[in-house]
Amino acid sequence: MSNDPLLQPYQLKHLTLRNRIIMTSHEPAYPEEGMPKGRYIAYHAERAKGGVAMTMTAGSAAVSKDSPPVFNNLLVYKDEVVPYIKDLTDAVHEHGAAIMIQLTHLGRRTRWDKAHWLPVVSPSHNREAAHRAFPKKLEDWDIERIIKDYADAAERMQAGGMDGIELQAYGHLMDQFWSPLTNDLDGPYGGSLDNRLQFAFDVLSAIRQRVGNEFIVGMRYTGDEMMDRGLSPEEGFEISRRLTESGMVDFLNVVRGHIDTDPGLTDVIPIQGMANSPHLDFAGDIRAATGMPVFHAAKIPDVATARHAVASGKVDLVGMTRAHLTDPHIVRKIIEKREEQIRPCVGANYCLDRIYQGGEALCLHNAASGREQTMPHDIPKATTKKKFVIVGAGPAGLEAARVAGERGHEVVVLEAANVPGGQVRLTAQSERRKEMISIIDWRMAECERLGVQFKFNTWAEADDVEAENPDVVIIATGGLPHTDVLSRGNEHVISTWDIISGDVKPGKNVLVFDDAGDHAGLQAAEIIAKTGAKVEIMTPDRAFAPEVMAMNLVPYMRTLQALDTTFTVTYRLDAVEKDGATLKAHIGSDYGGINQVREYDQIIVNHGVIPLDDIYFELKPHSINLGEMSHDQLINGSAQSVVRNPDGRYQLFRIGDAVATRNTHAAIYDALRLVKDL
Amino acid sequence: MKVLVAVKRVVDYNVKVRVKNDGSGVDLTNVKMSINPFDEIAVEEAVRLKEAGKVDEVVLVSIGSAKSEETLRTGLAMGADRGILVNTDDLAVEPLAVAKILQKVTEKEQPSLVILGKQAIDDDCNQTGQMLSALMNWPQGTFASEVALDDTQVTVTREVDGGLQTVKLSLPAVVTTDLRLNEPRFASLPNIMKAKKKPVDKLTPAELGLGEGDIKPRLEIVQTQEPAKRQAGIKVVTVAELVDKLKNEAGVL
Repeated sequence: MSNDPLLQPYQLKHLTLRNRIIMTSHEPAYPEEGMPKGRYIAYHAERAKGGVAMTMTAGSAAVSKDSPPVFNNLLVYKDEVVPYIKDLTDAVHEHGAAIMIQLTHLGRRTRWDKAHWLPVVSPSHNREAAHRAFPKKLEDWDIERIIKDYADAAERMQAGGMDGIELQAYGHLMDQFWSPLTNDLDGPYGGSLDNRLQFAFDVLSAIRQRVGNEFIVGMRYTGDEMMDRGLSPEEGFEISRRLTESGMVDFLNVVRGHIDTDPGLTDVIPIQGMANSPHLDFAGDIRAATGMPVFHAAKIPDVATARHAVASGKVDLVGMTRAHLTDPHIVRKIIEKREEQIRPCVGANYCLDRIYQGGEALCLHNAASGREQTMPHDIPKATTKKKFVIVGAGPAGLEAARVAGERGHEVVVLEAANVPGGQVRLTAQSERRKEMISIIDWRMAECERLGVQFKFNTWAEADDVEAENPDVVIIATGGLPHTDVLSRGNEHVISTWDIISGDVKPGKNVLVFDDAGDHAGLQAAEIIAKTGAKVEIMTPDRAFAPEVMAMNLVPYMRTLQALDTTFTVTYRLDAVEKDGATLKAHIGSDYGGINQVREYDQIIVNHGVIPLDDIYFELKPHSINLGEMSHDQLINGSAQSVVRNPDGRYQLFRIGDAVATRNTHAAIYDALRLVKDL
Repeated sequence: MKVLVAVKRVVDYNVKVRVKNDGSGVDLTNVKMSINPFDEIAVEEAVRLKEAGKVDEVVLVSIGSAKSEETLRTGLAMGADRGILVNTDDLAVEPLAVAKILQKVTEKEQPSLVILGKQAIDDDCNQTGQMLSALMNWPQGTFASEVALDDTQVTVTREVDGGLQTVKLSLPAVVTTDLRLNEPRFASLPNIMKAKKKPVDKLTPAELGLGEGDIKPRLEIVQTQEPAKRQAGIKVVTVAELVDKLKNEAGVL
């Protein structure tokens, strides 16, 4: 028996959990028609197989029709969900993990122009900034109806074989009752703390009447809104005590903060560059004050912090939720003493930012997560060993090298720089984005383990590649910044890379023309603004930096607003003229009729990269497939077999930004899905 | 003003070195090689002097096999202007031989300042800069943590035991870099590309007027050994037991 605190079993009422690591409730937005079907089940089953003690499903499963999902959530107000839940719980139980689900009514945290077009309801008319709906103030019959909906949904989950449920009370209807900021009701549900808690206790009573006292019911709630006039920590502790004393709650899953704005949400669920485990001590204080079983998750990405959380008695079960999106087999690797092989969550938050934009959760650097039905987490060995030459050691090239190494091939990587990483290393030059380099470091460690050979400082020419006698050549050379986008004066502008790499010193009065809307533009702006320079970020888009997305934007805004950066949307830089030391920017608009001239001393253009593809086109005529990649084979998951030139000497493929500017996930997905079948 | 910077190709500092089976040296097959970190600091300092307008040209010199051109390209990508490769093939050149070659290059290039790393992380000799200074009869400022250059002299803050020492050297002079002098820049892909086009002159010791006797090794490597493997530790239950073991087993009390 291991003496690792993380590997000790835990008894929660009648439920024995095999260790202390859980995934807290989260909605990866994989439901189909609101039901957890194949993809959903495969995702959770993979993590159960990987050894997690318990997976908690469905962030925000909707108990009522007037709680339409803001993204693709489970609809547990439907009876038809029960058999799907049964399939899900069976699949997870089969691998020895427990499974629970989170139920909620979103209250004002949704929109009325969805599903059944029912008005959004809340205990006040106060609008939530994030979802913008002006709510109807709840009436008596709304409250009765919703209490019953909770009980009905709980019963469905019990019937579906769930080991328990938790109720969501941070930013949703339940704590909209609790918080003085969002409850304008008079008694019996508004006013005093007693009254504001009445709804929660009515819901708990109704659920207990329906599911009995044995079924596990917990509360995931905010113990401190961290907002002026919001729910105070004193009230949070009082609520914790009352939940404990009610005897109706079996565990407390502690959250701290508020989620009604992007910055609030990001403080609750911090992203890269922000402090790790910021709310762990607070969760520990609640555990100490109540003696209740406490769960907690909030940027606990590494095993060492998780171990500390449990060993120090701050929590009973530690949530490593985003960490499990990156590596579903964390617990297995701990048990097998392979902790150093855990693929690290870098806090890029691609997962969450995507779901809040209506996409499905994907991990920036594990393209198999959420694609368990088509992409392997454990790469099978190939039947025949081949020689791979990969040009470029950025994210695409390293993923290709890692996967080819796992397949058992002989792999040589040629890299122009002295160090691996490509654009990821460039991005990691910014202090706040340093964690990104783990994407590279983990792959380098894996490649070393797999015997991949690297040749650095090697600007590969076609001859260098062919001299290796490869069977497969993969071009993952990325690109160079593309700044030639103006009608005239391209020679007067510089790229974001020039600033991020430190090659060009920031000016004093700078325009960042951001036509790509990704991290590079904001990173450059941040570096310049920090020198005290005047910075204007201009974009022809309706909103700036759309590719950066909501939560990732928060730290940038906190820096840039404090440094008085100007944000100019819907304008386009057309041309630049040099006049002595002054750069005259000619500014137009896609909406037409604008022709302004403004003066700066430095102008930066962010417009993605132009592929560095010379070597690809040089090798192309000598390849069997003439570079062609069969999209059908790629999508269907079979080996590439295009023959366009029977005299060719090798298969040739191009991936990542060497094809076109995309992002790190695209580069890694390109590599994984191509190479897993080669 | 011209600055000459010497750069050496060494085993990358991240590599866990292995000794060859026969104990004749370090196994370099398939091992990642990089620019010596102290030399990288030297290149960075020279490029910064150029950016500050105090220097017109930064020339790199590397001595070793043809592969040392990689190391020159790394420095060129950081912003140096051109390179000189003195090809000694596989001959193991020792600090004095290196200093003699550098002397010839220095006489040829006539720089006002030569910057070198204080030592290379492979042999840790820490001799070349001092030897070059003696051969040239130029002043030396070693272990620099700060370098301030003007037209006729260079002020060097040196890291010495117990503190810092500031010396003023008249030019031309030799400076060797310590770890804290600067943080070398990130060489971005566009600069690596530009570096491909920068000129690298290739010379041999003979072309510099040095005979075999000038550069042949004077030392014989008798043996190369890996450090002893670390023994597994033990856990003690009480402080008394710890003290007992420290006294009677470890013999350190």
